[in-house]
Amino acid sequence: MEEYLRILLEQIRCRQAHDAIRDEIEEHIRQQIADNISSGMSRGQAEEAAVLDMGSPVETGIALDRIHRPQIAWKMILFITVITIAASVMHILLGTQEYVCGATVGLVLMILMYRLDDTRIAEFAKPVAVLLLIAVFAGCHMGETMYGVTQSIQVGGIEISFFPLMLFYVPLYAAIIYSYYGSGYQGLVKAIIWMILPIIAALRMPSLTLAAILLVAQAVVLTIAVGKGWYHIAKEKTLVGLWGTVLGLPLLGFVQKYVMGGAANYQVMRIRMILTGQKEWDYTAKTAVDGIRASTWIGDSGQNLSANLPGGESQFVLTYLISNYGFVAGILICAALAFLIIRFFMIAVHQHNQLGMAMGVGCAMVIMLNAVINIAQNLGMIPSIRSFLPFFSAGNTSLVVSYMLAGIVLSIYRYKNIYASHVQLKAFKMHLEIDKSAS
Amino acid sequence: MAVEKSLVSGSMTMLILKLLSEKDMYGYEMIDTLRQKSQNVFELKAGTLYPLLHGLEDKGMLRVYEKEYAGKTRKYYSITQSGMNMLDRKKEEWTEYQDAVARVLAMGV
Repeated sequence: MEEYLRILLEQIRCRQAHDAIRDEIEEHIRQQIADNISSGMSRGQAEEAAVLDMGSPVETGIALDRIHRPQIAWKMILFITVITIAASVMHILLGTQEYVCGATVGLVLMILMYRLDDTRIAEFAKPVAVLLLIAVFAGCHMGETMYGVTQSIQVGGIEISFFPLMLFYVPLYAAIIYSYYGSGYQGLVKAIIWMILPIIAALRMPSLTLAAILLVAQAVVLTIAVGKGWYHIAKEKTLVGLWGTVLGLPLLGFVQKYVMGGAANYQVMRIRMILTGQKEWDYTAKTAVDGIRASTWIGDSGQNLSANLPGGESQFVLTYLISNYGFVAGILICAALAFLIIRFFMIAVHQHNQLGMAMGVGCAMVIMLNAVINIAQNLGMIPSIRSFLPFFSAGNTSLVVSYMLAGIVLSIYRYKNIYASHVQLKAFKMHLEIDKSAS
Repeated sequence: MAVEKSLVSGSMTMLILKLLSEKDMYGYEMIDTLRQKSQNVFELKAGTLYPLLHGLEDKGMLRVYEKEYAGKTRKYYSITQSGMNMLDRKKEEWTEYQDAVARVLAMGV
């Protein structure tokens, strides 16, 4: 039997597919052997007969190899490249050359992530996540701040922004909690702790927006984990508890800050504005909205927004582009992003491999939340907060993170035919035991 | 009675989909059930079955899940809506084929 399996697996070029295939076929042969023995054959005869029954290992192996191959997400990569080129052109014409540099690096990293197996990324998840947390906490003491909010840190002359950087935590989170597969409530508690850590880091910066994005995205990932039975616990109760807390926390915060006077003045003002339906938040938001209102369908509306709108190439890139190229450009950009996000979700959700699914959904959630928040901000629906338009905003870190998240989703797609529902992760420095008997 | 191989292979997809449309099964179970139902006419080799199953799963006709059995994990296959649609199509094709053959064979001399 071993010889049969060896020859068969030899035909399958993609190494990562071997485990799942071997398990299924081996199980089949064993059952055939058992049946043969019970119909009177000796052990040796039974095995020989069973293997013979399987047919040619070379033929079968070749047939399987054709199916279990890395899928190249040509169309997606092409689409993202086109978006990058279009955005680069727009930025260059507007004078923000920095975009091109960040986008190129991002694109390269995306291809790299794409070629990396998502389970390998998962193996390094914990150490990288810890590094991220340390970086942010350290940054709160040593980093550069703006308006009292820790913004970034200088590493070898390059400025790394914390806001987008922390977003990378979400797919890592998926991988981390996957390592607790099968460990019941203990695993759940650990998952919750890992979820809270980055939120605390975000609140220390302080960035409520980041904390909110992290909270929602991770909660969705955890929901998938619990819903798919990773922890073998009472699903409904856990999920109700989880979402009750996620939705209840802001409510609590609201009560504490507004009603009980725990908020800073500007926060109270904002809430009052939301409650009274006032649309003009602050100078920047007003400029943005006016900018859009004064724009035309196609073409330059003649306003020189760059002078009046700070962050035109990053936070308010949408407004900027609309004002310079017209509404059509804005609509196209939103449509392109929407398409991208929907494709990401579809790729992730159709994943057989559950680790891949969780990581993919995490990435898609992050991109979606950022895009939605940024667009809302550009349209003046919410006050000016830290946000960026994925793939379009010209900030090095935000670009690199956008592309890397895309790279993870593409890598998941690439390996979709290869892994079974569950993979044994080789934990970094430790050996994982996935406890199957804890059913 | 053993039947010519080529007659069998063409309809194998249809037969597997039919089996799974009644009940979720794992590989070995399918071969066994097929053998019984066809009264030993169809002796499907596992080496043919698994590539077929994996291919169908890749195309979305089947869904896979794992279940524990006696300390081991078994891969069960279940048919999806696309799989059901394909089954209906194949059944139609088969009926057409059957009728055509019958008509030709019934040609009197």
